[in-house]
Amino acid sequence: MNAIVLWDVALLVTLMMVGVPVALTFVAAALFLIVMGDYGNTSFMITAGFAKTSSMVLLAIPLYILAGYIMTSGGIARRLLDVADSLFGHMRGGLGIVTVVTTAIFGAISGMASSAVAAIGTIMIPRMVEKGYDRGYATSLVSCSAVLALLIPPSATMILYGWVTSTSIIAVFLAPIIPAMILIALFCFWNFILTRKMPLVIDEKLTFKEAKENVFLKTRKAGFGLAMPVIILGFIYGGVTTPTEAAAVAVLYAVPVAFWVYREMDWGSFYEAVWKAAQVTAVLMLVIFCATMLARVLTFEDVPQQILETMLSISDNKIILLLLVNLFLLLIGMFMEDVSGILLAAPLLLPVMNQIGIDPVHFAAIIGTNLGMGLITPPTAPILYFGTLIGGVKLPQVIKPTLVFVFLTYLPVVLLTTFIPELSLWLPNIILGY
Amino acid sequence: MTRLKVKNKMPIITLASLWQLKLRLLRLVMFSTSVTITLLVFIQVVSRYLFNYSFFGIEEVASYLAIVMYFIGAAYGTHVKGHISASIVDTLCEPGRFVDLAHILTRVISALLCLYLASETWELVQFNSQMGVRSVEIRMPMAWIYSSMLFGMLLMAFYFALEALEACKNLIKHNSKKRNQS
Repeated sequence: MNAIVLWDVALLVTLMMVGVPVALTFVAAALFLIVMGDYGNTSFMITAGFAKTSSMVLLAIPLYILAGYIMTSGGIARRLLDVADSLFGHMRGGLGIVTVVTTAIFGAISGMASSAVAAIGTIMIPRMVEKGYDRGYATSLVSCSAVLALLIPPSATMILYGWVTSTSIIAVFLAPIIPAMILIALFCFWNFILTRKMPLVIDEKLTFKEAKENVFLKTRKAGFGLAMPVIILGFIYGGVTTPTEAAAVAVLYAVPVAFWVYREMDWGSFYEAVWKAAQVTAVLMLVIFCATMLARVLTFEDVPQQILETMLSISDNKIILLLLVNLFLLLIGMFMEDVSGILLAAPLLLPVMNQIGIDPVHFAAIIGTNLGMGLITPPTAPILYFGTLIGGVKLPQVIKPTLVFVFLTYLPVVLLTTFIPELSLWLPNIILGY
Repeated sequence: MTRLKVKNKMPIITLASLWQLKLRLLRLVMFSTSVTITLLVFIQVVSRYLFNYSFFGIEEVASYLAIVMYFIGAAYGTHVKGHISASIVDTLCEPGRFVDLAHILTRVISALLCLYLASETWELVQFNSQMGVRSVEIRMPMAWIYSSMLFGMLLMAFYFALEALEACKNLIKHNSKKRNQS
């Protein structure tokens, strides 16, 4: 690898670690390469960022984020939690399962891990603590399971992957679903094991008839919210709308539900939800804008080819190369959040994947699970840190359960996803004939 | 909103009220662009599937409004310190002189990088207005769109510079506290 590129990576990581906003570290890294290289006019950087961020495909991201904010402010997310609670709440460790399941459903609407932590964490962490769960554990479970939002469609990360690599977004949405289901099962299993010694308060067990009525009542109340993922995915896979258009439909569906059906939203909270969603989107889009600039310069410097040659010089064995790719993605995930990670890693590693015969849709699942694991793996672990803010705990309190989830939940799923392509390709094959 | 009133009850606009007005305007821009984008995309879906008709240029307007929203929102994000950061310093170190120094350094670097982006965008604004470049579908002057980006970048630089000043003040405070203790 070129020494200048290695210095550039060092600069990028250093600036990130001292606290320069991630988006601007990309600008600094691009600028470094420009200064060291032979570039005359540099206005191509702005036009490259502009061309990419003004894409209609990317417009899906602000719209899904907006849908998530309206769901949270309008009481839709709370009702989804109530349904899961009526199903699993009476079991030992049931609230943990409720958290995991609701995060998965929420992810199927909003597609952002941070929105899931904010929406589910603010409701579930106090509720779990009240029922005897350790606060650090509750925060860790919410943060770790929020990463499911990356894997369950419509995921912002998968939209970006499809967009960056010119792969069918509809196929890419389906690729990580089975790995996500395995993750949910493992979360529930480890939740049961880890809460065995906690002094949990378990609700009085209802008779079958009472339980049935309770589930029916909660499901009826949450019916409009439960219909949202069905509408979004039905519209996309029914060929009615593109993912961007389905997102707009989701927003315009959520607004009357929040205003007039659940009556939990007024104009003031609507105004606040919209501008806050716009601000969160803007911060994310600035990262995409700046990462695109860096990616363009990296392409000019022929870095993807250099990575391919370096990896092939280490080994031409497919298993070793896949392990190297996993390691590379884990390191990227540990230092960057998912959006930056996918924008940089996907185009850099795709030539390697093509060379060893990995399908781009399979690679979507590999990169999704890896970067998801990175979001909760220190030192940077942005979702974990965000979770500690929501849960009001210090980092050391969440480290132990998080490490259990990383090594005994995520890592096995990452390896299964990497080495069993059928896990990612079966659904696209069945549904789309991919 | 801070407003001083004089004897004849005419309000005097203060710096603080202008500051608040600017923040309210930024929020209003984010809100209105966001709502308009959603409605435009939804109208396109309805017109295409119910009336078999696609409005020309609607997607272009939505995309350009999104650009306005992104850059104004990014500036507001700087004001509320909402940018995505992977700072180890803030996570592992207790507040004190070292953290203040790191804050000064990172905010100055950030402000300079925003100014660099703004200067590049300014060149694009000038080029597009001189050449009369217009968008493909609705023939909107491209300089307008780039100007919104320029405005957002300059605001970001301004907010980062203010944060650097705030960090300097904190450093001085921590230094005098240390001196008093010793």
